[in-house]
Amino acid sequence: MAKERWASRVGLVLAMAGNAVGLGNFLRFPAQAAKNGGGAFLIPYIVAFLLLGLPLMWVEWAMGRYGGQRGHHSAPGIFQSMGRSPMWKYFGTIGLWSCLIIASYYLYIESWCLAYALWSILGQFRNIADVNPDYPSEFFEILTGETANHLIAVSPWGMLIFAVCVTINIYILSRGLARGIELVAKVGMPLLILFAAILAIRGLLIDPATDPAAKESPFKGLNFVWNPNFESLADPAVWLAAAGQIFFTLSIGMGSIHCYASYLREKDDVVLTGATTAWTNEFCEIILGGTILIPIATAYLTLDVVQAKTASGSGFGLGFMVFPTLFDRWGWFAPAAGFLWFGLLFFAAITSSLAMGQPVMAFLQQEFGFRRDRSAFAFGLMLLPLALCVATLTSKTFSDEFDYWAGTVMLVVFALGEIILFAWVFGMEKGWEELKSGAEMWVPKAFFYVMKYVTPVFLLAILLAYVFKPAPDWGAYLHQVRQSLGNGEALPAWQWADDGMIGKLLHVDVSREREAALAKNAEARDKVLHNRTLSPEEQAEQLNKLDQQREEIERFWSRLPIWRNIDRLVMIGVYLGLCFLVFTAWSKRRVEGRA
Amino acid sequence: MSEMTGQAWLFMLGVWAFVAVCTGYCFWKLLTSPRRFGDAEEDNAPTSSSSDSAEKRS
Repeated sequence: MAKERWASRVGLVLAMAGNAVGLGNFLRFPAQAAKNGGGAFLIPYIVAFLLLGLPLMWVEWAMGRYGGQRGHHSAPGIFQSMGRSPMWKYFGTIGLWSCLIIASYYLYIESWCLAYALWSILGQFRNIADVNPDYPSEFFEILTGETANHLIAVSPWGMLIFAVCVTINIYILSRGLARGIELVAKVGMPLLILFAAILAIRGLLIDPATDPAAKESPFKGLNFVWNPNFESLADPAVWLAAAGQIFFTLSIGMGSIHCYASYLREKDDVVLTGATTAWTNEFCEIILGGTILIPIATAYLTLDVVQAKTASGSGFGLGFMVFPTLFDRWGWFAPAAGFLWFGLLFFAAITSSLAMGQPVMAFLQQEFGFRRDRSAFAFGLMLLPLALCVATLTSKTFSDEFDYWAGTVMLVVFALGEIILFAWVFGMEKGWEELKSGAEMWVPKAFFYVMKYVTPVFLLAILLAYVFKPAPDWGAYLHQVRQSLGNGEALPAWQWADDGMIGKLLHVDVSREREAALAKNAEARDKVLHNRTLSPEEQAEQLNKLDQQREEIERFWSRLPIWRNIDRLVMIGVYLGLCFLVFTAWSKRRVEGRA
Repeated sequence: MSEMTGQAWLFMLGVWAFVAVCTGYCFWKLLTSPRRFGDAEEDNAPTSSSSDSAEKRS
């Protein structure tokens, strides 16, 4: 089998940067920055980048190159080659598992970007601002088939575009590293930057004096993102949010960087190329990502509305449900603007999803002798059952669970394991020499100690914060604790957060959302009962509908924990299945005298 | 533009300059580096089986 290689260093950097630059750069970062102290958020963010992001990026590059020199192009083999103990390959299997699970829902979101981009350029979002501003939300429902309190969410159009998206990914992957992934990155990344730059400039040119639809200056939104609130620096939750954002934005802890780096030669540099990748991601996130979403939304919706819509720390709702309506204010440029926005999100997504397919394919090629096209097809087959669950059931089941466990928690677990392996099992001295081998940039010795002590502690803190997260979040809880201690009162009651690991395991979010839905229903019922303008027949009809809705709520939310437990069993099953493949591969290696 | 405070301008431009300089410096180093990869004659990477023996050696 011909050995695959990257064609050029710039191509590799763009492919790696494409892997890192994803939807989070444009949708999550601005919302997180605005939520956590504006400009001051950038202080813990950059500190986290230097203490967590950059060291982990270098560690993953160095591990990948080391494993690649020993014939391994996916995490199980790379981990085993550094750790010696046979158990490391099963830990490394998380790197395959995450890629497979994340790809199954990430590709679905990618298909939405493609659908919105096509719908925009076809002019289907034209003239909606005054007639039907909710049309983008309706389009989203058409695309996903989601309806409140229903388990099944099937949309033929959504399935079709999802299938198209998966086929595009498989086709690109089947073309190989240089002619597939690298080529797409070389085209996609410059286009992404160009699209983002056009939108950012056009957004900042919105002038309420000349644009009748604009309510405020976009600079008010920019001020919201950048005005530093130094008090927030004393809040540990802000530091945690910054560390989380850095961690997730760089796509570390997934096994894809190891895989890409494994195609380097022994004396190829990893320090400069790794740093270039990380800084390119930061350029896209801080300079471009921070200048589009919130300034444009503020200009047309006012800052108060934007604050309310990004209070959760996510800009997803704004980006998909609101932006097409806002672009409609831009006249003839509206279809192009919509295409640029969703096009850049699509490029950001596809360059990341390709990086999730490559490790699985590399494993199949390396261990089972699959040809590239067959391994791409096999990846598609492995993806199929998971993708079908994601695309046919409400996002509250498989999508959300996959995102939480594979796309959040296990990334931290995997990164913690890899830094322990690199710095403590393989040995920091050996690891440092491995990192510096062929380096074209000086690495300060301080990073030796950062990698050995600071990064593992940082990761452990993030993990523990996730496991034991109190409601509503750490920031609010610690504030309550400080207040209670100051007033000499008893400590506030501990309640598990919806999105903390223990809270998730106990289905706390399900109970809370069920109660909220029932309360909303009761409120609506109350309104109908006290509405004197309704005739008795109309009142009876509406009450009947609300009673039916109440039954649906009861049925849906009581069944949801069962479905979520099934999701978790599926994830465990996928992991065990991959472990079996790894076991078979190493048994085969032993028989062939390669183990 | 008057909607932005001096502090916000300072912070934004400072962080932008820092990120742009670091990104630019890395790309400049990368693009001006005499070392390239992708040349067949430089490819002395071990094949699967020889790499396995390398693993045993190390």
